[in-house]
Amino acid sequence: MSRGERGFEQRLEAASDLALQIASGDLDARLAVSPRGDAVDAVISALNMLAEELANERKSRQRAEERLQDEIDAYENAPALFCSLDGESLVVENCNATLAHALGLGKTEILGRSILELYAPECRDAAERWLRGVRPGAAADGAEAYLSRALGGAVTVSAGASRLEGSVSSGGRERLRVVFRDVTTERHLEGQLVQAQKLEAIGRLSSGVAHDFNNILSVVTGAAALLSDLLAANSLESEDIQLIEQAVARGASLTHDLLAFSRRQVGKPVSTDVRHVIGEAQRMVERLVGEHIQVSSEFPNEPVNVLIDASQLSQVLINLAINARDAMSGGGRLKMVVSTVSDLALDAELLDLPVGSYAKLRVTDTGAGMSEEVRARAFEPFFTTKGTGKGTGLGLSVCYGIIRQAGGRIMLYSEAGSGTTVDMYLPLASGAAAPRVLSASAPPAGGRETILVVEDDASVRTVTRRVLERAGYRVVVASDGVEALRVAEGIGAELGAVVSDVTMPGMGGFELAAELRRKRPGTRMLYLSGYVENLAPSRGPNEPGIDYLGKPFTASALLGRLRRLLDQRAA
Amino acid sequence: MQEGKGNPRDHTAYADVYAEPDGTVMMRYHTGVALNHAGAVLVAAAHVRAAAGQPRPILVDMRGVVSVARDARGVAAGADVVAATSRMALLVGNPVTRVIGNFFSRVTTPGYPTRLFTSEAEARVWLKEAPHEPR
Repeated sequence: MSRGERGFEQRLEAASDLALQIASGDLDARLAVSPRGDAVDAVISALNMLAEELANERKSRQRAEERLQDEIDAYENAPALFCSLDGESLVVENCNATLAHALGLGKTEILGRSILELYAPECRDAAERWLRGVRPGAAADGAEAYLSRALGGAVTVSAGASRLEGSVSSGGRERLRVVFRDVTTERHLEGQLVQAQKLEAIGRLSSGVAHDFNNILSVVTGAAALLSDLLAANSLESEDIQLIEQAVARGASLTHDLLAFSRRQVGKPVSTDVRHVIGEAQRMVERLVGEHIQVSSEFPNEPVNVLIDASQLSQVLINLAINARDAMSGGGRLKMVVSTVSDLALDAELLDLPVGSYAKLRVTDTGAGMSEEVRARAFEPFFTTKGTGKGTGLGLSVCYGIIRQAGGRIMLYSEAGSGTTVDMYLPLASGAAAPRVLSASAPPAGGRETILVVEDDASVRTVTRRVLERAGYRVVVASDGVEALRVAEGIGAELGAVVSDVTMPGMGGFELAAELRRKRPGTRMLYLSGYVENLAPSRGPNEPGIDYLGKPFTASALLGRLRRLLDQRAA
Repeated sequence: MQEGKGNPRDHTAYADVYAEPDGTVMMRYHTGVALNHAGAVLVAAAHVRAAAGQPRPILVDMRGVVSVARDARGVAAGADVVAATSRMALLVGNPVTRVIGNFFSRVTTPGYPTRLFTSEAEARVWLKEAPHEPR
């Protein structure tokens, strides 16, 4: 063999080795092409380019596989619940992980079962009619339905489906593709909104009724006080008057609760340490619930100050304790826990609250709990599960109103047989807690000053005038703000104070005060009203020269409050 | 680029490229060229300039080429080159250039008619045959 032939043979062997390397998957293998450019070089060149093409093909395939995997991941973890079914038997042939997760099942527990088994029993017939009615080539939306969760409960879903005609790959069988959207949270929030709107509407209605009723009670209580003064003590008639006063007190308690629910209750919100309120309320709660119920509380070492009327917060705790007691007739535990939270996003129901730090007050009992139907209506006024005469149905309504009035939220979690938990969130106040002062009741006292009574309700106006006149005051009346201005002009410097309703047709109490004080700075104002929401902060009850008396008021309360106002002026 | 015979002429490290008076673009690779992607981009840019905004026939003398990388072949099949080319005659010599030419026309499959020739004269005849035939 010549030298040239040996060289040719060696190059041919090298080309053969290159082909083998490429065939075994080494797509980086290359051989240099000689400048000769002969047939062997041509083979080597072809193999080099072939390896390059195959390497590129491999990369393309890898990219395609990655894309496919991305798509599989997207399918498996999509926010929608996917499955595909045999078009005739409705057996699930494939589903994504989101569906399995939503139902608390593994995919293998779903595949091979009829999709109807995944539905809540009451939805199965309708679901079957819908799925069988989906025509080939057309998408169809189904009614909202419930899918059963493995460990109880249900997922609310809206659904859409399309029927695919039989193909060669499916053996000619029709298939159904079904997409569910989990709307459980959406429906829950909508339900809450509807409930909140309903409570708001009831609150407005209750507030109006309570306001009018307060006017009536003011007349009755005032007239009763006037009559009482005319009667000898211990006379039969005097006892009748006491019956009237007791009935008025019960009526006033009802309107008080209604106004609390509708967030129009008069209160004096000050910085209050929730721990102190709990501490004081616990003793009262223990007496209230009895020894068969164990009462405990937990709170942090640091102050937890919120802006609320402490007596109203106590009322909330008492109302909850009464409900807990009634739910634990055989004994149990009642626990009150105070903490602070700043991450409200943890609970979707608190998303409408402003960002900030909140006091969380949790009251838990181990009582009978509530059914879903009862829980849904628990905050409605006059809704009660207690027997006739055992409850007004205003306890939780009052809690709702007080917490809302303080800018907080109250939520109730309960299941029949599993006790009840009430969570309350209140915005933390920045300042230190105000010292708690017990108010001393002033004895009724009269005077000789001239008082302008402004009230659009004729009966209330008359009773108020007569109570004041009986106490020695000179009384001038007006039925609205405009008339009051004219009358005040005639009184001149003799005007001691104005006792005025807040809400009146034409010019209301606040406008009247502004006008009077512009002409006669320092004019004393005693407002009478069942509402608190009209009291602007700058004109609140704590401002010097202005005081507020809620309706219905007793004669002694009116006289005491007026005397105090007049004496402030004198001082 | 320099002016020659009234036509723009590009001299790159890989090939000379220019438009002939009849509109045919001539691309003549230097001897021993191993064309990589960067080189292919330079040559393709010269080709597009020579075509001056019209699809023109091109005669590519690749007899001096030793190898062409895959991504370099891809450049010749890119949109700009396709827009500048009505048909391409590949002038090949030794077996290696024949293989490279065949790979380009059959595997890369550019979007214009391509044919291999060993005779420059025959190539020119084919280029003038139907310079604007449908692709």
